[in-house]
Amino acid sequence: MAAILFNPGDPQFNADPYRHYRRLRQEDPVHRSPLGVWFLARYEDARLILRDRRFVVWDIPAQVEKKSGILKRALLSGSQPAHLDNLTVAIRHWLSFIEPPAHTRIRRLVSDAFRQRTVEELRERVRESANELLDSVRPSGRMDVIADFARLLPSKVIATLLGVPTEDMSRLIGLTEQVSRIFDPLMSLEQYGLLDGAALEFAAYLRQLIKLRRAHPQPDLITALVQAQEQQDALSDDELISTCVLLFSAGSETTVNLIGNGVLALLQNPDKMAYLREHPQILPQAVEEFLRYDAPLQMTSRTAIEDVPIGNKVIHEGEQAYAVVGSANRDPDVFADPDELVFDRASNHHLSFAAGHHLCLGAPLARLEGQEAIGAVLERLKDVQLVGDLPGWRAHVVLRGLNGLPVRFG
Amino acid sequence: MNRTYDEVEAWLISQLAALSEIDPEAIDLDRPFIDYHLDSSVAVTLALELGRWIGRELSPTLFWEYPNISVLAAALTDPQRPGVH
Repeated sequence: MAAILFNPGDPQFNADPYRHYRRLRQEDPVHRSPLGVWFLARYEDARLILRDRRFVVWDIPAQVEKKSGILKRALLSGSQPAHLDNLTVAIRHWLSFIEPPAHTRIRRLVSDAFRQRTVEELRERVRESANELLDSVRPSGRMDVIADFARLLPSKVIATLLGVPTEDMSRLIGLTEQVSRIFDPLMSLEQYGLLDGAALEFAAYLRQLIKLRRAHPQPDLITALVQAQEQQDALSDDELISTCVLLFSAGSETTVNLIGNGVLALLQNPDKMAYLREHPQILPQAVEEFLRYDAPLQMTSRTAIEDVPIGNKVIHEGEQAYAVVGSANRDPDVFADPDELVFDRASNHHLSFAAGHHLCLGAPLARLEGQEAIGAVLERLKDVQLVGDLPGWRAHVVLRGLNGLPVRFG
Repeated sequence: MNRTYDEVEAWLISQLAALSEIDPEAIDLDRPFIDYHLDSSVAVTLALELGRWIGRELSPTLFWEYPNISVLAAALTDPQRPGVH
């Protein structure tokens, strides 16, 4: 391995990214990678690019279109997919990839649809789902927190919210997992080809479901979005499908890691687990701390639309920069004892839901799910302990989540 | 399969020229890959293809770790470093 200061693509990186972040903050906090991408490791700088209007979201669909163009021109040897057009369409209108005015219009429509059933109304159902999942594994005295619980709960919640039939869930979880890899910056064109296939199947499924809801409205989010489309003629068919794919993807792939990383943090800090078990009223603060301590989304990307000086460097117009949220959240200039799990921090302004006008729309739902899921584990399972070695971290660069988390309990 | 320095260099030149749609003569061995506007997933794909061609698995971030043709070809054909991944 050549001397390279910061390489999140290194297979060893995920074992302990915080060690690498610490070094980056100390040695080169405004870091330009050998391929010209910037990584901002300090809280202040990361927050700046998330909030400053001289930065816009990194247009991943345009990147995919570019890759599709390379494929269509058949410039590469080897077996590559013919194009990535289905993937481009499926992600084209995601809120995370667009800016005003389209962003303002679609975000308003989605928030309105969300508001029809407030997040707090969902609490009871999330709790029931969490309890059901735990009760089904309880007799065996062991479970994989990821596969048996954290992976199923958020998908169940988002499927309920959107109005997807239960029998289709496992298929959709699979498709969601594939499409969510879109945030991973280090994929080969063959891997993109797999995503394109998943996007095609996902869109076809949603097209059918939307047709059904149009004919027979239900009290769900898809119906609400369909109706918004009809009343205000404000959402195109492509926008509607793309938005549904986004809600699925954003609603499950991140929350699974909030739950998984949170439970892991407790397993590794048994005194904190005991304290939280006895003081469930501080679950909201605990979940904020899990979000800070081991963020489900470790970095998020922006593009400069003009030259912006940061520190003694200049990020030039058109260049891509990552706000390294996982590092910002552990910046000792902002958080005392950043590597410790501390539930009663006076303020905990982590960047795990980003900041600015792209602040995560699903944050209230994610918080609720985190509180209910981890609360249910503590309430229903006694003496939870890790079994064997940790199965390791998923090979994602941007999403941080475990392959599995086998535990036993009394 | 052992490839010589010249073979690896020629492979990299031809791929980079084809991708950038420029003449192979115009490829500068010491110029950073970044200057050729190499797309990230094209870089990952190239690392895969190169690994298949030389017969061993290479790091997906190879083109980040070895930033130009000379350095990369040297590292891949250095008998002292058969483990370059």
